[in-house]
Amino acid sequence: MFKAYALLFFVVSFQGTAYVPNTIIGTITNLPANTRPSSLTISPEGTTMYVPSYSNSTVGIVDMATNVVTGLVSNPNHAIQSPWFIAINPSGTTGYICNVGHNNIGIFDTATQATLGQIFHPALQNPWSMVITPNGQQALVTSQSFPYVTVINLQTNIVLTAIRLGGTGPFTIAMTADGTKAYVAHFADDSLSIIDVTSKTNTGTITGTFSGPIALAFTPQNTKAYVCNSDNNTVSIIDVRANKVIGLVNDPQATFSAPSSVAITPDGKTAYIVNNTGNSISIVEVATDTVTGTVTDTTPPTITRPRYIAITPNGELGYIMNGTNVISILFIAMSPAPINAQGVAAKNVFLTQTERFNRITWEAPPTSGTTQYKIYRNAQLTQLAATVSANRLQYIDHNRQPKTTYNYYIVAVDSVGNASLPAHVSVVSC
Amino acid sequence: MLHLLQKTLLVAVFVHHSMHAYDFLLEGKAAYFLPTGDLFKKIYHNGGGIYGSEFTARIWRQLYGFASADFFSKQGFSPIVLTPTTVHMQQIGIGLKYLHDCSWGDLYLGLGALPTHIKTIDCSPYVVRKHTKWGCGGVLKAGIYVNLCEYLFLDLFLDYSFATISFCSRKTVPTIPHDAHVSGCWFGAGFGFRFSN
Repeated sequence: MFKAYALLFFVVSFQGTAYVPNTIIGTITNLPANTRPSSLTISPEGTTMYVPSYSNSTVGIVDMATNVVTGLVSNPNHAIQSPWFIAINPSGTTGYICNVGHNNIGIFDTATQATLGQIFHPALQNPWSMVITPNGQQALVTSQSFPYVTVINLQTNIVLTAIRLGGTGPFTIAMTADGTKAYVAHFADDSLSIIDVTSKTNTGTITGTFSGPIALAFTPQNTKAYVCNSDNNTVSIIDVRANKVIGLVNDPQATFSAPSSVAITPDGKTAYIVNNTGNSISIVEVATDTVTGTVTDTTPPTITRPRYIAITPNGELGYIMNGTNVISILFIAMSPAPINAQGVAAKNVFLTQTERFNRITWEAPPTSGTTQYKIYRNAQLTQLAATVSANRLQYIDHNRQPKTTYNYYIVAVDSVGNASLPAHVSVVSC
Repeated sequence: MLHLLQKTLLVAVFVHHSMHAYDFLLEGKAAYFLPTGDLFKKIYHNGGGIYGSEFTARIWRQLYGFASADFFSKQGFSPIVLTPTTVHMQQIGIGLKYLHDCSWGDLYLGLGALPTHIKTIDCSPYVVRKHTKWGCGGVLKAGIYVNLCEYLFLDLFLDYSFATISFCSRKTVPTIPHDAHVSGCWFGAGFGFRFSN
């Protein structure tokens, strides 16, 4: 039944007829019994989602093309022990597991889906959360019961240093997209520590409106960060350049209810706040820092005691981890179209013949995860002209008739077939 | 038998009479072909060498007939897109020359028809790869024969050939065919033997 639903989604989405944004469009229900996942991690290319289970000491593998759990990461060397959080390196080749109950970091190969070994260090005490620098060289790990951030060299899997933090009970760590700065949320101390990633130093502490800060996220532009205050049902806004709290997210309908997780779309326009006790997701418009609505669940409701949200690299879907054994699939919006599409008509002139062609160029959409572009000749996206790989941002349409108007629609497609909104360009041939 | 003998005698007399006034020139020549068509110049970089041979023989007094065969081949690139392309051109000239005697040789002017065959090879998967066709043009000739010794001569010439090969009638969809303008100036030299009495 779910496969049929997934197929329907694919077809409808691919043809450009989007679902109603911000609605639940499906669920993942075949997690092993008692998985009770603690977090969700989507691979950089958007093809696979990993589901750590603290209670089962397993890591589930979800095929995002079908939204079905296809298996577990095999664990031949016992490197998966009460996992809480997983990070995947930017190239998508290796996964790192925060084994919260066993003071180590497990390592697995994403190609073979098998563990490779573990990283041990005295500073790793109940490792809770992790970020990896954009170049994939280093990882920063927070420990639940040790006020340090551990820095690991991912080339050698050796701990480089441990950075002393300004508070206790560090929980979530988040890093700016450029990899220069990280914040660590101190749940017990109502503060954030500021980490200079380059120098590997703690450069200060942010205090203000926090109350049980449990999760945080930066906007892709690195201008703002949102911090979920689970104890007073608010979300703080931080000016990242100034390292200063500038206020609270405006929530006129009081939708926040023990906010426990936040994720921001790749275009930086929308943030989704998980309301753990409200069984809902609040939608925040980043430009105005205002809640504009909540995700309405379908019947029967699937959003039950939600705890975590992850958004696909193309920004089209959100996956909501519930307190049950069910993951809800949130349709956010069609991912944005490729930008700056342009067309030029030209001729290839020989001594005895002339070939007319149109050269179409574009730039990648602001989201990541595009694996190919499809170029159509009609707005209904049924006349496929060509498919080109993601690194080839142009298409040449050969053998055109003279003095004819051609319309092109360029669609970015990710590895599981999700299509973006089309970019349109019109060209009159020579 | 007598009849056959009479015929043989008549032919011998005619041949002897013709040989008495013969003057013919056989030469190999090389020239630079400078095209005058803009497209040809753009694609094939202002032309190149053209090679051939020519036979010239007296018809009546200072009037001579000539027949020539020349070959031109050049690689180039389409403008802007820079697709490799090659042209092969064979030209056969047939016409008349007027020679004016000088102490050191002859000055001449000529006019003739120029049947031309071209073959183009365009190295793009989006066009018709080969085009071949015959067409007819003309040639104007001017030059001097410089006698080097009794039998050898040097030919210095400047010719202008004009030819347009039409491809417009060809159904070469998806490309649009058009005429090939292969006119141009030739300037070069020949070297050969001259037999006369």
